[in-house]
Amino acid sequence: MMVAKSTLMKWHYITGLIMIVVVGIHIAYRWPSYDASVSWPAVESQIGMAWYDIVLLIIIYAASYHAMNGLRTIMLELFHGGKAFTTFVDVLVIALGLLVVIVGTYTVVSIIPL
Amino acid sequence: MQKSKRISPRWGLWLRGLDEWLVIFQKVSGLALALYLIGHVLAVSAALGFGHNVTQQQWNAIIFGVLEKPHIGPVSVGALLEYLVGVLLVIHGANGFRLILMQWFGIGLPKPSRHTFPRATPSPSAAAQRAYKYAVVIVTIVFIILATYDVFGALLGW
Ligand code: HEM
Repeated sequence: MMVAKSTLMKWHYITGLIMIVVVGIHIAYRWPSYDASVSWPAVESQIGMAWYDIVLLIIIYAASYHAMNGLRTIMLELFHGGKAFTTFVDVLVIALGLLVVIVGTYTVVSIIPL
Repeated sequence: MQKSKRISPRWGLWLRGLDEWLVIFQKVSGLALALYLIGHVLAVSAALGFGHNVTQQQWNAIIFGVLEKPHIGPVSVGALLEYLVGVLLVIHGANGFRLILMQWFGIGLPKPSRHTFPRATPSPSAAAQRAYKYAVVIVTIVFIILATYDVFGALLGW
């Protein structure tokens, strides 16, 4: 299946814009003390909020696409291989992306209080 | 036919100014963040027992027993790395937003027009380009100040 590079980049930009909001929320929850925000009582209350879990899911999907498309661009820029190399990179980033998506989704969906 | 001389790339060409630095930085930080994403999702999922052992014991065992255990003096190496990832993220995000406004929406770029000879194509406004880049630098500096307080504030007695 071929997808135009311009389509891949359009989604790279869309996921980038989405992440400014959702990753912003994720980082804002580390305020005003990073240490306190990763202590168990704080974490328990964060993951206990359904809307925060949905934010985590959105980050997982947006970041996996953006990061894996970015990784693909970097590798194809750095190493000029043929068609076989491109296929190898495609398979690699899809596998890594699926790993993040599956593990992340499984964990969050098991926790979300809905 | 005129023979053209091939000039091999020189680092001096890349390390000229903020523009060149931002290009390299966007790629290096993107690569670091992509690798961090994989490790972060796997580690935090494990600390939550993949959703099936959501307990303080499990969380503390992975987060404080492994990731934030090594210390340099009073500073946790894990927390220090998170701080650095935060700094990479904000430069990448701020510069990424600049790139999106320019490359996707064309804001601050001249209207595309028919290419005529010689040099009739308007060049991007230098003032707009400078404003963009200074905005990235300012967002970064503000974030670093906030993040330093956030991660090291208690340690430094602020
Ligand atoms: C916070 C919001 C973010 C925004 C607005 C953003 C935006 C961008 C933009 C505009 C580019 C340059 C694309 C190009 O013109 O070639 C880029 C590259 C990249 N980004 Fe992000 N990004 C964000 C977060 C992230 C995160 C969290 C990751 C990793 C998990 C990431 C990974 C990458 C990679 C690997 C590249 C290099 C690809 C290339 O050079 O084309 N980005 N990003």
